[in-house]
Amino acid sequence: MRNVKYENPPIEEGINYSQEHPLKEFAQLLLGIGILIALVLLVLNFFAGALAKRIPFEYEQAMLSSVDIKQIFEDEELSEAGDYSTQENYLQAIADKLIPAMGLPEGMAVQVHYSASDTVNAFATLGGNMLFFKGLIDAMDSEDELAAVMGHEIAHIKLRHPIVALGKGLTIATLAASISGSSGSSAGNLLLGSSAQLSMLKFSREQEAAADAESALALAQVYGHIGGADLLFQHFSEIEGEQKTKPAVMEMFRSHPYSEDRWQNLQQLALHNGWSTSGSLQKLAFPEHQPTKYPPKEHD
Amino acid sequence: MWEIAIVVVLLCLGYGFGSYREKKHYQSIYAREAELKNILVFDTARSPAPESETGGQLVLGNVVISSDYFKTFVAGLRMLVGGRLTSYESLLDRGRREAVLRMKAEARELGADSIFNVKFETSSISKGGNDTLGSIEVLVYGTALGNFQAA
Repeated sequence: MRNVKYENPPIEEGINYSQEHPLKEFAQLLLGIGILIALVLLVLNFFAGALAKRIPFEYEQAMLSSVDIKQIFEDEELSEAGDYSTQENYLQAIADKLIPAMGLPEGMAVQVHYSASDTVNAFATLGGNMLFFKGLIDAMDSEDELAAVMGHEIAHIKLRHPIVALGKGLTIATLAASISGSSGSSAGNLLLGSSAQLSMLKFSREQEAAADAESALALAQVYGHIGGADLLFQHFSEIEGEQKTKPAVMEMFRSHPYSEDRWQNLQQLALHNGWSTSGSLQKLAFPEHQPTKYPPKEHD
Repeated sequence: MWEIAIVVVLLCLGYGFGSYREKKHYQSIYAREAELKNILVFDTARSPAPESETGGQLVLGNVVISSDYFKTFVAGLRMLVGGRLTSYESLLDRGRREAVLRMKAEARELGADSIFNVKFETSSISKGGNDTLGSIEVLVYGTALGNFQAA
């Protein structure tokens, strides 16, 4: 070896590794994959929404047939155990008063539930179920206002908003699970535990507007004027204006924002259809009604 | 929201410390490679002139090197679309070269001028599954020859 000249010449840098700036690759990947996922999400979201609407209402009910809806509301601490049949009968009577004017598809039925919680809210969920909170009812003086909220929630059910929200949520969870490569535990949980998602269904602003319009139409037919809805939004925009400066916003406005816009939309609708926004309001005859000037207590 | 903030902080930490360490490491590699360039390495099993050789002792260099959060994150994104995992390439390059340098340093201690039959072993100590970072071990070994008597 000594008589032959050997050497290990230095190897040129940048062959075995990239000399490109790592942040460049990071930005490219993040942007590219982000856009791709956003597109896929958009397409899937669209189809999920369009297809979920076509799921027959009986299937939606059958999905919940094994579930005790009252128990779920209690488990989620939305309502508490007890006999509220008088309150629920009263609420159901208002719903039944509105239903003929709402044009529900055949076979669709709604079920009103009551919670003695101070939360100022009401919501519609899967299987035609609605939950009304004492806090909301106490904040009202007239049956017309309650009917406006009732019409709004029935409209959500009529327009299949809960099943659309569930369909979209499941699609996104499935996509997320397939990307993260997990065995789909989150999607699986959502699928199996869909009953636990009852109160978490979120509706879009367009869906809320559509429900408002349906509700106003029903009010005009049943009560002859939409004074209840008008008063409701008037109050809500006042409270929302006051609440905007507070860090803790009432539950109602977290899920139903933009009362001012909704009030204006309603007034345009009234003008267009020739509905009166004022009329004699019927006194609320709710059992054990304790009207309060918009309860200061807030619920989270 | 918090989860995203934690990821962003980890990415910044990973990128900041990771790229600083990598830069420093490469500077050290360049300097020591120049310093040890007279110790030659060969992958052939035998010296071309075995009759003139003395020495003959096993030398080895070993290094364990870990990925950082940023590298792992970028690699995770890259694995969705395929292509060169450049963020890991520099990691392996540094590991291999560092291991060779450690082996050469050992050979220099002995007074050797060449190392034959050089072999590499690379294994992953942690695969980086389930939110842990991957780390690799690189082992390089060979037979040091030169003007010394094997112990």
